Amino acid sequence: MQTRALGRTGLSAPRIGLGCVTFGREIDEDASFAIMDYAVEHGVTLFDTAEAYGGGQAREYRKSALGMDDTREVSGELHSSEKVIGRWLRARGCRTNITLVTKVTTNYTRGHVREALDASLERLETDFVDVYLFHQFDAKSPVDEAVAALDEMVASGKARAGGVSNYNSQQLHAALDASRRLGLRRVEVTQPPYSLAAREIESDLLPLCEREQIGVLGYSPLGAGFLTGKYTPDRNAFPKGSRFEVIPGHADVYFSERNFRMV
Amino acid sequence: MAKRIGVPAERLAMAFALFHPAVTTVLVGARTTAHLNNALQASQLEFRPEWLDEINNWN
Repeated sequence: MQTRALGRTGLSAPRIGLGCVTFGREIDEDASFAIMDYAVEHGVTLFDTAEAYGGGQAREYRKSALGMDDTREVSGELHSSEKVIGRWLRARGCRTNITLVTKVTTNYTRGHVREALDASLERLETDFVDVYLFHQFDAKSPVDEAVAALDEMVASGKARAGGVSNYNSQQLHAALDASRRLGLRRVEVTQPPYSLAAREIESDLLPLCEREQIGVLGYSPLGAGFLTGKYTPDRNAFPKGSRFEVIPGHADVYFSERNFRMV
Repeated sequence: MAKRIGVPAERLAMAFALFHPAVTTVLVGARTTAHLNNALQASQLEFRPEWLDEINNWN
């Protein structure tokens, strides 16, 4: 597996990383273990997870809000993605071979970020993550406080680098400005969606990352399955158990005339 | 296009994401080892600049 420097973090990352959102949601623990074993065997040693990934909560939410019972959700365990990874790391004893990425969902105050990372570390059964990300932009979290919170996590040794996910170029720019102005560690990694069906980041975000040498972890390379060609514009005809049947909102991102012509 | 160049569409899409110089890593959410295998094959595929030209002409 080819690797690349992950921005200026000093970490090196494989070109392919494992997205672990399905663990405990679409696949059970045995299947998750088998995927992680297979991944590591083939050099896919970067694992991406989040406190928000997992069964239980999401299934209940979809049942009440959308009236659908997500039968793919194989575990009722909250935060199951992190927990399954934690149990796998313990079983295999290979924490140091893995570049571990996890995320805090929202509310980027120092107190909350500290608590959230401590809880993630407990579930992951480790004392540090390699990269800790803000899962999405939170307009209610002032940027100065947010970058200070990330800085503190890296200073404590609980995270080797900090970063963001789903930020646009202005939001990332503001975070970089704030850390520069305050003399704090900066955002070193960003995680945007990137695929043939979602190329918006090519115009601003990726050039900014190139200029600033920020590591980029692209997600949804198949447009959450859209590019496999299994969908038609008819929203009442999502294949059973497919991503858009379970999370119809994700279809809004990709269902355009142009994208259907493409597939 | 995938058919013409003899590469599965999923693999071509993955190779496209890997091709941009600013992208360090592409994350693959796998439910089966076959999904992951598609990504591994894509990382071996040399994406040609002329494919990108062709893609940029779609609209």
